[in-house]
This record gives sequence, structure tokens and C-alpha cells, in this order.
Amino acid sequence: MSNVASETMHHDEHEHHEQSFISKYIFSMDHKMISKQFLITGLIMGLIGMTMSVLFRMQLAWPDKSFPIFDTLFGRWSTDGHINPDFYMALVTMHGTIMVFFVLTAGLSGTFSNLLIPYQVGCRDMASPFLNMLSYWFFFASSVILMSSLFVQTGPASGGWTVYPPLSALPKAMPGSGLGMTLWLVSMIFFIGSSLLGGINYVVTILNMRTHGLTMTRLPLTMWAFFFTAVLGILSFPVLLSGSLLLVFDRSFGTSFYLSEIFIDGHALTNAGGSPILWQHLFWFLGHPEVYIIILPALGITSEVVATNSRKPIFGYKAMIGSIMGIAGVSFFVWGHHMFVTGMNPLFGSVFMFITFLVAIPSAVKTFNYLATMWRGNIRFTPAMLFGVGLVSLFVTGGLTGIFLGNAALDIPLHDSYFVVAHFHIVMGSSAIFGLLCGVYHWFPRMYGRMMNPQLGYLHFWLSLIGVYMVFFPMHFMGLGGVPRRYYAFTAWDQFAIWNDMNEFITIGAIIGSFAQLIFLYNFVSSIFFGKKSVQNPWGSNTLEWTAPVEQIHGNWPGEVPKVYRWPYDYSRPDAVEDFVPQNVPDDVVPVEWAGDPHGAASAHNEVSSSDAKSESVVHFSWFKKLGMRLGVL
Amino acid sequence: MNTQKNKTTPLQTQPQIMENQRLILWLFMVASILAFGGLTSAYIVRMAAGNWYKFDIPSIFTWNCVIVIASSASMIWAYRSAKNDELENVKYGLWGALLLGIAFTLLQFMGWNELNSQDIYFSPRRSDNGDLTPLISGSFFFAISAVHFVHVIAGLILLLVTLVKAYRWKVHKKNLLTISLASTYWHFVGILWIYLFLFLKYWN
Amino acid sequence: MLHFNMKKVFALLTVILVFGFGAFAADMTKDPGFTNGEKLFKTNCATCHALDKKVTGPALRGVTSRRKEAWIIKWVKDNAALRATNDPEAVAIFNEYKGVQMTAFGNLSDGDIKNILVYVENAPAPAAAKAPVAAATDGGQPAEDTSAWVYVLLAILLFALLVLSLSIESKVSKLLGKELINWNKINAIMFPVMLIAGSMYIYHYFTKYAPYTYFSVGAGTEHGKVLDQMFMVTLTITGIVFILCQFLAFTFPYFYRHKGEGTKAFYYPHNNQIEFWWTIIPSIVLVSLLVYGLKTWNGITMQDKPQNAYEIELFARQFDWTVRYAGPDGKLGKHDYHKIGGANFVGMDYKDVASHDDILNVGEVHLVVNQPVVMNLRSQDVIHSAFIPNLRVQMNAVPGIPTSQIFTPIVTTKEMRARLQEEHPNDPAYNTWDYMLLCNKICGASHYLMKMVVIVETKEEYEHWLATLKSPYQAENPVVVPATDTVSTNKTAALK
Repeated sequence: MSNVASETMHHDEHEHHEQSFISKYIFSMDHKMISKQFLITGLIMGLIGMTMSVLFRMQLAWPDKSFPIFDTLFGRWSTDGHINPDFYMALVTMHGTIMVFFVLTAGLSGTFSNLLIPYQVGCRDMASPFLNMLSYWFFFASSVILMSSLFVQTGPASGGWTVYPPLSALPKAMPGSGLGMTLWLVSMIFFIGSSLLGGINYVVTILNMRTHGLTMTRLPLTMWAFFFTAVLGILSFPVLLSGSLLLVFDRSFGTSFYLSEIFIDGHALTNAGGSPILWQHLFWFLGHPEVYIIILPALGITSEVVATNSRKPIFGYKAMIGSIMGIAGVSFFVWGHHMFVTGMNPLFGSVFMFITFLVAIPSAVKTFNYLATMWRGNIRFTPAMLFGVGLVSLFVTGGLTGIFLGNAALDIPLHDSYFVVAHFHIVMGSSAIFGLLCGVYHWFPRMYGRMMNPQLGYLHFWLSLIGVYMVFFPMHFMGLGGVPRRYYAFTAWDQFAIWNDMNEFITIGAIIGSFAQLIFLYNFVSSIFFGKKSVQNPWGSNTLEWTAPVEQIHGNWPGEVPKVYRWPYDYSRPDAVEDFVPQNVPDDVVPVEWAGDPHGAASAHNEVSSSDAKSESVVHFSWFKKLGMRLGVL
Repeated sequence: MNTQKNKTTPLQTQPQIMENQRLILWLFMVASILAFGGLTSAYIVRMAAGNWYKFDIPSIFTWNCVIVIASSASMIWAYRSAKNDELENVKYGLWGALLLGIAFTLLQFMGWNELNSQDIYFSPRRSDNGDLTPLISGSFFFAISAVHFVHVIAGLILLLVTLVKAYRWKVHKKNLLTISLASTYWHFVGILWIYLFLFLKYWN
Repeated sequence: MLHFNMKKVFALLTVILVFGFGAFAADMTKDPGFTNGEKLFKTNCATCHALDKKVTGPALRGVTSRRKEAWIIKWVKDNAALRATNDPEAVAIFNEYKGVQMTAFGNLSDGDIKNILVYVENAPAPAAAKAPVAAATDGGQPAEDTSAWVYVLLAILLFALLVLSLSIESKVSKLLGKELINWNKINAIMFPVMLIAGSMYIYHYFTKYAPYTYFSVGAGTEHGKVLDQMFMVTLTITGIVFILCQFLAFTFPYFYRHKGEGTKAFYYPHNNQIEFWWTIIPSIVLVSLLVYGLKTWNGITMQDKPQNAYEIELFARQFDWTVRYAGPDGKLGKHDYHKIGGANFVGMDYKDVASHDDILNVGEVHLVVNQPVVMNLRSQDVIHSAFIPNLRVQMNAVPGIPTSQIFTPIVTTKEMRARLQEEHPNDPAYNTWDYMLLCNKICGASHYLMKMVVIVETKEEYEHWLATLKSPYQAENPVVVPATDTVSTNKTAALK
């Protein structure tokens, strides 16, 4: 037994050697440094994606105006101050790919899972710091490869971030389907590798490395959210990998997985028997869980921030866990709702519609729980709290329009219209981004030991909230007027002219919203160097990351790892002096259960068994492992 | 600030499902299963759409199933020997598994060649009379078995690593993790082959 | 002695001829070829070409002085074939446009192409038309630009002022040892303020833009009416939830803000009863909506083909839509993509006799009111999608996998125009309104221009129009009609 223990302890040995610049800052295996790497890369990619959106929105709003900046930035992809239609498609594609994967998946999960998991479960670092380091560098490689596709002769991938074949399989169909698409696929392969490595690490650390007294039902909701996010990733990204592999084969080896009966550029291609719809199945099998991979961490962060800043327990902790499980589980069976108008068997449409409606229920439960947490709270408006409340508002708006789209019949006139663009931008592009920003404001002191400027934070929030509602709310009406998405201009029909004013309004909103993000970036960067030094627990929070010293150290805690005696939501307990009781406060100082709470919020009792004292350096296995060992399989 | 490795800190008293590295391996295998799930689902869906060319799978692939079983048996012997500190047998067992694994590789290539000689290719080929052979069933067979083969290579590397460790006398009763993980993964790759083989042979 | 100054004579002759030609040229816009050419240009070429600027393809004005007419005809009909002969000009253009190929217009005859060229060369030059406008905008534009810059400058100034005042406030606060401004209260108050502002904003948008959504004039199909009703029901239910949740989300922050030292929150971690209720009630509501939706979905997608339905096929390719009518035999002929070429650019398989009377038309489709139609879809190259919003119809066109949707238009184009004019009395645009068919699946650079006009009309009008169309097979293989007094009914579509 002890030899196993020593093997899992070996990573502590590197605490004792001096770290070079390279091993401390570049190829760091410390989860705190890796989380910053994910954050910085994610923010840079976000800036690029956001700039792309402002530029193509300018083209949309003022199609007759000539913008010299397009010629400067895009060179031959722009003509007389107008973006070329095929490059417009490329910008839209890159914007979607960058935002969905690089900002909202890696930038959100990668940052906060890495930062918080070892801290909040009470261990020194991830289960495998080496794989963790690889996970970041695969992500970095993926980013570089994707960005490089902007500079190739035929341009980047341009078939939308969903890259449906045959468009994405045939370089003759659009220039972006040439080398640019190959680079997109290579970038995704690295990205999937990064996600898998990260996700596996997160799952193992949360399951296996919790500190003394930290049962699963004493974990903060951030941990539950990140855990299920990682599980979703492990189960769904491999299917995209398979699908992408088949696309690579079709593009480069003449196979016919997705291609059939195609006549292009004067030739009838020899591909036969393939189905473009097959790609859609394989893509959306990842694609739908992907959006939950995006929103779950944001929701977990919101739980934490709203509870801490309302000085109240999160309402319905167990229900919240159940909702996370429900959302995660159901999300695997709804992918077909992206394919209602592909001509697939209507029976499948019915099944997918049915299950899609089910996933609305746990989402609603979570929303009500957030509101109930704020009810009769003692709310302190940090910038993080503002973004948390903003997320709730946006989640409600975006989630409700999902009910229209999930209805297969209603989807017939709504699919691929601006109504859909409004829906996913509000629920994902705004709500989840607010979660990211909420997390940055809240955990900035933990990451950098300093505080961000709160007033700039307030300004950032209000401008952002106004910005996103300005940009995305009007789009619903455009969708209900029959305006399709991914259109370079609306000149084909006179009846689209009525939306010109709205297009301008939306673009102005986008410019305001983007400007607000610049305020945030200034605040973020300047606070790293000049921000007010933080105290150890600036928010009066209960979770374990705030029990570590302000100056980050390798191994997180200077002495022992804290032991946990209670759940993380003892805020404003009537029988406590302070309005918060951190998890590591022993039960002789403040009792675990409050006599006035009949159901016992922290119902798990602290086991102080005598055997613990003896088995100090020994790993203690569960019944599962013991059975496996007895059977000789584990 | 330097941290001290505090020997009195209990590692964790929360039960572990299994050791970290083992759980990491299992999660990776789960991901792999999902990837093959995607490929085999694609196969099933495509097959149901009709126009599916049935061909006989060369018997070499059946022989490979036997080799897989033999290789796993050798691996089990190696592990048991390690548990009993029979260090010479550990090496023999590992060699057996490795050599049978290489034999598997060779037979796979022979099998693929045999399919090519029967005009079943991964990608369409023009034959002498100008006909193209876009046999999607062939493409699927090659794609699935090739992806499996990539996993075999990873397994061979793991075996090699364990073998090197064995030669350094580091695989024994008190140091079973490496051989245990290599063994688990090797069995996984083997069972995966048998499942895929049966699937490709009988699900058409 | 009659010595003519030859130079002067030639000069005079040239002047006469030029003016003559000029006069003659000016008449070209009245030439029927011009009108036909303009129509053909707008249907076939406008997706990728403009006259005076580069869009997807090059600007076309003056093309006859750049290329020979015979070459142009070959290029337009099948540019791939021309390139295959290694024609240097053809290859050069292809490479210049980054290897994106132009559609092959096998449907255009030599005469059609010549007409198009007449239009291209003689359409009124926008430079002349635009000059006064340009002058105005030139004069106006700087003013416009200046005003935009003024706003930007103002915004920067405002922001600078804001930052300055904030830094002063924080310094003074530090000095005094307490917060000058109660930021918590300000943020708390902002929420109900935003609630009011947001409500006004939403109300404004609904009142201003709801009339422009397609609900305001009703759906053009049977099932569309059902969908619209279901939309309204869903909107009502989700609207109530929306208002309730946003109200709480924007008032709770104000009511439950930190009110000063000594205030404490109410420790209330859970309530299983209320969790139960707010799980069950949404579930019941959602399941009801679900059942309603399922019934409608099944009704639309799983219906048997009605007795009196007629079949059409929409053929999609980069970047146009072609309708194929079944002809007098009422049957669409089989198709084979290997046969695509020339006049048979949709790839009908002429081995199937049923295809001989099939009729093609690019860019415009006519449908009969109150009669169910089976809209079959096929694609030549990539996934396209036929989206007819006012009919509430949408279906992908997938290469290799034919799809179809059955629907019944119930409002003619004329009637829809009347409804629109009633809804928007001051807007003359609706005089020329049409049902639009848009491509709704990204398909390449000209995706946004890939359109088809849909006309819903009475049966008589429809048959009248159909009689003007040609069947490619019969055009190439004219049937010799014996001189009898039975009128050939080749060109009339029989509706079963």
C-alpha cells in the first residue's frame, strides 16, 4: 500500500529544487500558473474574435460606406473599403470558432478549473501536473495554428464554425475550404487533445484528491459544475475527433464518408454513397454538450459569487447539484434539434424535440434558485456580483427563446434566421462571457494578489449589459422578418431594407459593448501591476482557496492542507459571530449543524475515527477499489 | 517561501476510487471508447442507408484475434509473476506480449494487403477498365482498423517502457503500478480488437 | 478643281458616323434585346456580378471591348470546358479569382447571352446618375463623417472626465477615511432604473418592429397559420416567465442591498416544498407545449401525399435556384448527376421518358393557390436550403439525399401585397413585394444573393405562365406535330 502512496506523492519532490524562468513561467506545471496562461491566451483570442465581429458588423451596417481600415487590415481580401463576401464568411467562421472553443471553453474552463480545483478540494496541485502543462501547450499550439490560417493564400476556413461538408470538404466550393480548412482541422485536433487532457485531470483531482472531511456534498458548486463539465468533455469531444478524421479522409484521401453525387467546376465527382448529414450528427453530438460545457462553469461561478456576495447560502444546494447532473445527462440526447430541417426522419425530430424540452426544466430550477438566493440577502455589489446578476438576466432571456427553437415545428421558419443568432448570442455569447468576467473579477485577488479597480468594474458592467441587450435583442425581430444568418448583405430583396436602421443600431451597440471590454482590459492589465494589494480573504468567502496566503506559493499552503468540517455556504448563520464561517473552521468553534435549521444544511457529519490517526501516510481505498483488487482487475 | 513536505498530514481520508494514474488511464480509455462509438455509429447509419458492398474478411484477421488472446495471456502471466516477485518470468511474459503484439501488427498489414488484392481499398481506385471502386464499406473497415492500430502502437510503447523498467529490476511486488497500467491498457486494446473484429465481420 | 481636303472629309465622316452610331446606340435601351437581357442579367448574373464594381465576380461593363463575343458565349455557357482546353484568358481569370468557378449557364442560348451583353453595355451609367448625388454626398459626407467623429470625441471626453472624477473621489475618500459615494447604493438603484429603461426599450421595439415581422400579415400557408398561433401561445407563456424573472432579477438587488452596519441576511438554505413546486409547474407547462408542438410537427412532416398535390423540384447550385415542373405527364423524370451539362444543367436522365416533358425555369417559381404542392429538393454541389419565410417553409437541399416538404399556399401574391399595403400605407415598396425564397445554408461567397422569386397565383394565371416555359428535351428534340385540328397540348401542364 505505501509504495502506491509514495508514487502518488512523488510530485512533491519538485518543490525543493530551484525553478528556472522556463520551468516557472513557460512550461510551468503549477496549476496557478497554467490557469493564468489559459486566461491570458483566452483573453487575447477573445479580443481578436471581438474585433472581427466589430469589423464585420461595420460592413453589415454600412454596406455602401467605404472603410479604408478594411483595406489596411485585410489587404487583398478587401476591395475599395468593403470586405469581400468570401472573406466576410471567413471572419464569421473564425469569430465563431474562436469564441466558442478558444474563449468560452478553454478560456473559461481552462482558467477556472485549473485555478480553483486544487484549492477548493484542498490539495497541492492537480493529479498530473505534467499532463496539465501539456493541456495548456496543446491549446497554445491550437491557437497558433488557427491564427496562422488567416495568412494563407486561399484564406481561413469560411464555411461557418460548424464547417458542414460538402462545402468544407471541397476547396473548389470556396477558397477557404482549401488550406485554411486543413489548418482548422489540425487546430481542432490539438484543441480536442488539450480538452481531454485537462478534463481527465479535473475529474481525477476532484474524485481522488479531496482533503480530510471534504465529502462530495461539501464541495462548492463550482467544483460540481467543473466536474460535470469535464465529464461532458471526455464523453463528447472524441466523437468530434472521429468526425473530423472522416472529414480529413474525404478531403485528402478520396473517400466518400460525407460526399455523394456532387457536380462541381464542370466535373461530376466520383464520390458516392456518403451523407453530409452524417457529419452533422457527429458534429452536433459534440456540439450540443459543448454549449453546456460552456454554460455550466459559468453557472457554477455564479452560484459561488451570488452566495458570497448576498451573504446567504446558495438556495437549494442539493437541487443545484441535481440540476447540473440533469443538464449534463440530458444534453447528450438533444443534438438533433440542430437538424430539424435537414430532412431527417420526422420521428427522430419528435424524439429530439421531446428531450430538448426536458432540459429546460433543470435550467429553470437553477434560475429560480439564484433568485431565491438573493431574496432577503444582504447584497454587496462587487463587479463580480453585478456580472453574476447580469448572467441570470441573460440566461433567462436566452433560455426562453430556446423553447421556441426546440419546438421542431416552430423551428421550421426560425432555423438559421437571426432569431437563432439572437438566442445563442444571448445565452452563450453574453451569459457565459459574463460568467467568465464574473470569475475574473472575483478571483483576481487570488490570482494576482491585488484588487481590480471596482469603479471601472461597475462601468464595465453597466455598459456591457446595455451593449448586449442593444445588440442582440433587436435581432429577434429580424429573425421574425425572415432574415437569414451568415448573410454578407441584405441587398437581394427590397423588403429587407426596413432592417437597415436596426442594423446600424446593432452595430453601434456592438461598438459600445466592445469599448466597454477595453475598459476591462485596461483595468485587468493595470491592476496586475498597480492594483491595490489584496488581503487574504477580501470577499469574506467560505471556500478553501481563500485560506491560502495572498502570495501564491508552490504547493498552495505553507503548512498543512486545511481540513474541512462543513459545507461552503454558512453565510449569515444566526448562531455565528461573523456573517461567514469558512469550511475549515472546526466544529468545536462553530457547530456544523445549526440547531435552528431542522433539515440540517450540512448534514454530513464529521467522522473523526481513530483509524485515521493511524493511517496517516496510507491511501484509503473505496469499496469499489477494494472489490476490484480482490477480483484481480484493479 | 518553501513548503515542507509534512509527513504527519494525512494524504487524504476521502476514499480514492483507484490510484490517480489508473483513473487517468481509465478516463482516457473511456474517451477512446466514445471515439470508436462515433466511428461505429457512423458505420451503422451508413449501412442502413443501403448500397452496402459486402465482402469477406480475410482469415488473417481471425488469426489476429487468437494472437490477441495469447498476448493478453502472456501479459497476465507477466503481471502474476511480478506479484510473486518472479522477476525472470516478468521479463519473459512481457517479451511474449510484445512479440505477439508485433506479430499482430505484421498480420494486420498482411490482412490489409490481402484486402487490396481483392480490390477492397480505403480510398477509391481506378481499375483497368476505368471503373471506380468507391466502396464505403471498405473505407470504413480500413478507417476503423487503422484508428485501432494507432492505439496498438501506444500499447507497444507502454509495453516497451515496462520492459525497460523490468530490466532495471523495478517491476516487482512492491512496484506494480506500471505493469498494472500497461497490462490494463494492453487488455483494453486487445478486447477492443476482438469487439471491432466481430462488429465488422458480423454487422453487415 | 474639286480638291477635297481628305482629312476634313474623313473628320466630317467620322463625326457623322460617331453621332450616327451614338444616336443609334442611344436607341439600344428600347431594343427588346435590352429588356430581355436586363431580365436575364438580374435572374442569372446579378448573384455574382454588378456592372460597375467587383462583387463575387468582376464588373461587367465594357466586357465586350475586353473580350470577343464568341469567347464570352463559350465562357458563360461552360467556363470549365473552356478552361479545360487551356484557353489562356480563361485560365487567367480562374486563377485571379482564387480558383472559384463560375456557374455554367447551359440554360442560356447564344441569343440570350447576346441580349445580356446588350444590356450590360447599354445600361445607364451610374457615374452620370450618381454625379449629382456624389456631389451632394461629397459635400455631405465630410459633414457626416465629421459628426461621427464629434460623437467619438465627445465620448472620449466624457470618459476622461469620468475617470478623472473617479480618481478624485477615491483619493478624497482615502483622505477622509470613508467612502464619499455609496457605490453599493448606486449600483443597487441602477437595477430598477435598468428595469424601467429596459421595459421602455422592449416596448418601443415591439411597437416599432412587430408590424414588420411576418406575423403582421399572416402566414401564406395552412400549416403556417397553425405555426403562428403556436408561436403566439409560446410567446405568451414565455413572456410571462420573462417578465416575472426579470422583474425579480432587477428588483431584488435593490430591495436586498446591504443597508448598513448590522444588517444581516436571512439564513435560509433550502425549501424542498418550493423546489418541488417550481419543478413540477414548469414541467407541466413545458410538457403541454411539447404535446402541442409534437402534434403540429407530425401534422406537417408525416402527412401522406394529398390526392390533388402536384410535384415540383427545386434544384440548387452555387448560386441559383431552378424549378423543374413535371410537364403534362405529371411525373418528374429521374435524375443523374453525371448527365449535368449544357441545356440539361439539372441533370435529368433522358433515358427516363418521364423527363422529356419536364420544364425548367431559373430564378422564379409559380405556385397555385389552395393546392398542395410537393416541393422536392436537390442540390448539385453543397448543402443549400430553400427558405420561404412568408410561407413558413424551410428544407435543406442536400447533395446525394433528395428531400421534400408538402405545403399548401393559401394567399396569392396579389392578396399579400394588398395586405401589406394596408399594414404599411405609406410605403410604396410593397407594390412590388414578392414571396421570397432565400438560400438559408451557407454555401459560398454569393450565398446572400442566391434567391428565387415565388409567385402564388390562381390556376389560370399559373397555367398561362407555364405555357411560356420551355422543356429542354423538347427544345432539342422537337416533336413533329401532324397538321390536325387537335391543338398540341405539349406545353400545358396538366394538374392532377
